[in-house]
Amino acid sequence: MPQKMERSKLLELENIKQQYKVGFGFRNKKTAVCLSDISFDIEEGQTLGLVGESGSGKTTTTRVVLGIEAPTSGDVRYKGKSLSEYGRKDWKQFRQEVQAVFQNPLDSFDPRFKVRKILEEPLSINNIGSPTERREKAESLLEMVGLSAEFADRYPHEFSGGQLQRIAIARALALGPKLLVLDEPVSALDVSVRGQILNLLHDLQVEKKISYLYISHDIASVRYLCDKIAIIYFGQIVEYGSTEQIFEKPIHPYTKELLKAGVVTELSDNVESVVHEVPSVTDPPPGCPFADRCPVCTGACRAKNPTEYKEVEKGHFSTCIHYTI
Amino acid sequence: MALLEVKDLVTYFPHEKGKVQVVDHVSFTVNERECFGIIGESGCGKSMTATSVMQYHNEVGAKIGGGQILFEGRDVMSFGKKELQDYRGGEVAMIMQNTMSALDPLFTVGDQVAETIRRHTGAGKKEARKRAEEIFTFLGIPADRYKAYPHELSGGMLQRIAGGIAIGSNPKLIIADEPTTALDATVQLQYMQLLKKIQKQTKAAILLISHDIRVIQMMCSRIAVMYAGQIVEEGNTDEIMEHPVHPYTKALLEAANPHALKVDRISTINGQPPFLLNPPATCRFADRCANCTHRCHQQETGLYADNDGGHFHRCILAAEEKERNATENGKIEAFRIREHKAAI
Amino acid sequence: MFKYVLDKLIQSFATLLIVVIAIFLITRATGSPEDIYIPMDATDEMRDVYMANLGLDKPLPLQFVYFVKEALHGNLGNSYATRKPVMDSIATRFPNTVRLALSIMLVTTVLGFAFGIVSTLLRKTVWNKFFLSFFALCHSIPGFFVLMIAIDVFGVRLRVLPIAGNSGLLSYILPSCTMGLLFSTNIALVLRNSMVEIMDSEYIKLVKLKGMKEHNVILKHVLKNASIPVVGMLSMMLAMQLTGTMITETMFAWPGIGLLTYQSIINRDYAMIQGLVVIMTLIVISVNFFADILYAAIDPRIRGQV
Repeated sequence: MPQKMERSKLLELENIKQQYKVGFGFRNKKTAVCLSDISFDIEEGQTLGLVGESGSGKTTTTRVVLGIEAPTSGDVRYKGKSLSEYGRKDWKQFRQEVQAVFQNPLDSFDPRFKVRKILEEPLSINNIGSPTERREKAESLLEMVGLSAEFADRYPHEFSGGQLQRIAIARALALGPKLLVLDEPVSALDVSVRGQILNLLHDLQVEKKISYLYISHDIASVRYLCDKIAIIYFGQIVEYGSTEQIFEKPIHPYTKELLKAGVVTELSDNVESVVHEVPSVTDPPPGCPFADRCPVCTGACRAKNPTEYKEVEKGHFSTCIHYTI
Repeated sequence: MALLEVKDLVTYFPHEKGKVQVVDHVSFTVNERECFGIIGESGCGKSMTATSVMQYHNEVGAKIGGGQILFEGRDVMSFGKKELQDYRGGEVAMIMQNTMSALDPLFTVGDQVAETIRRHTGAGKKEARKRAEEIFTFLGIPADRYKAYPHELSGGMLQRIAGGIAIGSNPKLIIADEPTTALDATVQLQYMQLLKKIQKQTKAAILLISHDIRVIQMMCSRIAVMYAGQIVEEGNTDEIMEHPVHPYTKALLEAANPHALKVDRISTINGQPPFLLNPPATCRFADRCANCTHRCHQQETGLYADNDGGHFHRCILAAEEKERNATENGKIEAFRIREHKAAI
Repeated sequence: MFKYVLDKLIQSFATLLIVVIAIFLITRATGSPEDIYIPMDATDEMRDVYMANLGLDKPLPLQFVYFVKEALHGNLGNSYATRKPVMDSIATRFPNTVRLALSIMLVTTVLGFAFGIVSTLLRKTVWNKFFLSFFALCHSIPGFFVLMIAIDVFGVRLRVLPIAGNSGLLSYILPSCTMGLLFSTNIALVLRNSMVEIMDSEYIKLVKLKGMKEHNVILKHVLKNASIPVVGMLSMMLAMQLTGTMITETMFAWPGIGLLTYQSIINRDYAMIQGLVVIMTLIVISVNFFADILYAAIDPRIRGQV
């Protein structure tokens, strides 16, 4: 990936490759390539949307970013320092500054903890503040996300999905993070509640200048929150650019398909005859992984997997070979 | 022409302090070969309505407190065990939301489609298998997937299998309960096209339940909007999309508008639906409604007709305004119909 | 599936090898047999002769190799007590244990499934408490106590059933029915819990909504899914029975390897003990192997895993 303009980069991923050995026993160990080449970066106060479908590698990417898994190859750098070189102190700081909110709110909480305890836990683990201060902080966090302080004494199962996500966001904010990883935070919510959470995330971002890594399969919500977008398919980033660039001039056929899916209002009479599944991770085809689904696929596409990025316009990249500058 | 008639259905969960009324005097009709949609959000009662139609409410701990469910004129609630088993899966088939957890993990997907066929058409093993394979081809599922197990297939593929199970018995009505909710955006589109194809070929009626307006809009000719256990608006899809009357419908359409995300602020509905323990007879949307007046908290709601074309809604203010306009123009009509006491 | 079976086979051999080595080393660690075998007043030359006879003068790894070589030919050494080949004793007695084990397991399985299914179907009626209490009772009572009572009642007082030794078909009844009944309640409880959980699952809901008949739902779908944990329990029980339950065999004077083990331990017949342990290991490993195969046959999700 060509060099970007040097501003303070908070998070950088460079040529991340992640593969797993699958298969059982002493034989038949195959390699499943989950991520083949991921590179992107997020500057301070910037928001990046990662858009892809199930199985594209979005969740694996979050695990690599959060330091839960080490990539097979490639580099993850936070504030310039590679995660592979981190010592205990580095990790302690990293964990305070990089937080996450996940898709399923009810699964994110210990059902036996009251909300108060859930919110105070990050503070007490890091030995921040006295018990009184933590109590006050928990209440102020609730107010920050639009919930009344009296909810602190309730249990997770007493809340609706939208409220739970607010609590999850409050918890993520407890330590004053610089980067928030949001893995499909509104996908499991009702459509009228989605707006509430997206508005909240938007306001918090503007107010606190937190960077977001926002993951979704719905490109429409990404538009609202994100400065730039990376489209991921089958473990590769197939298009990358600012939000305006992607929405106004989508290059890769997959990007176009995603955009269409977001706004189509009528079904055509032309029904596809066969379902196309994502290619096998253990046995990838030699050519472009999108070939089977692609309306403009040619022989050259199937022959070799295009992994070089073509700069379509400044800061806007795509791997599709059909774009000629 | 009416295939399914639900009249004044009341379904509730017994609670120590009373009754949690999840379906509150709901009435609608699904005609033959029509696609009827119910749209609403979590807790509005749409899934419980489907559960009641399938007479499955007992198994989830609910009771039916009143009303009628007529299928082809027959009273479903009076079906005996054998009749009910023939009805379920045979005349009315269901497509569930999350097929990964809705399929038996120990049997192949082909078997599970063939099982339905054998049960309801009396076909033998070989015949059923052949028919199942035909259905696979029809639905665009590769033939080699017949012997696959559920855990080996993707969500989109499994939803197609769910469709196969549903149509195997040539049902007259297919109830699809949030069939696209667990799918990715791109796959959703594919699946809806599939449902449309199913409808065209099998001539079955479809009762489509979803919280996704796009899905409903693309498939259904008539819809009902549910909120807090009641139908708050009902009518032709186009009519409601273009001229929604009830404030909840308006807010919902606004929130779900994909173009809404271009603006600086996403439109949303603040607050949440009420808990349905002994719910009030007055408007249940009042607390969240922008137009709410103090009368909305005092007067009982009913279903009012907006025009002659089968468009009904539950907003007192809108109905009064219409009545005012009509009286001004010299037309004094009775706008109030289908009024009934809600809740107990 | 084939790859899975092959893998399990390799794992089984590896386990067997490790266990045999361990047994070999442990028995020798508890004291050299020469102290028992060789008379106390033997001269040094006689000692050397004895050692050569017993093969104890060779280095340890070589002893092990001989042991394995002989074992593969069915020769596990000679019993210290009877001076006759260990394998002979085992070979005579093992079939008895097998027959007893199978008869107990038959009763256990049949009753276990029967109780399990019936208690599940009646779980919402007044019988529920009865079943659960009954299972708890059978679980708590020590087996030998019930056996003693059964022997007393049926064997001594009523004199209807034989109580000692293997004297024909009737002699199977007392041990298999009593122990079978007790064990079956463990199976029944596990099966019941499993079934109840599955009956609430999403896929059973769909099966019912497909209009499948009751017996189809229960027997085909629920039972198959619920049997998975039961297979584990049954195989463990079978392995235990086949390696000879000392208590049952002792109380019934049943000439099986359980009794043999008990006697050998009392007599400190190390060679016999060693041979028995090897055989028992072989049994347990084989039973586990077949259980693994059965698991994979029932549940396709396991076939792709180790």
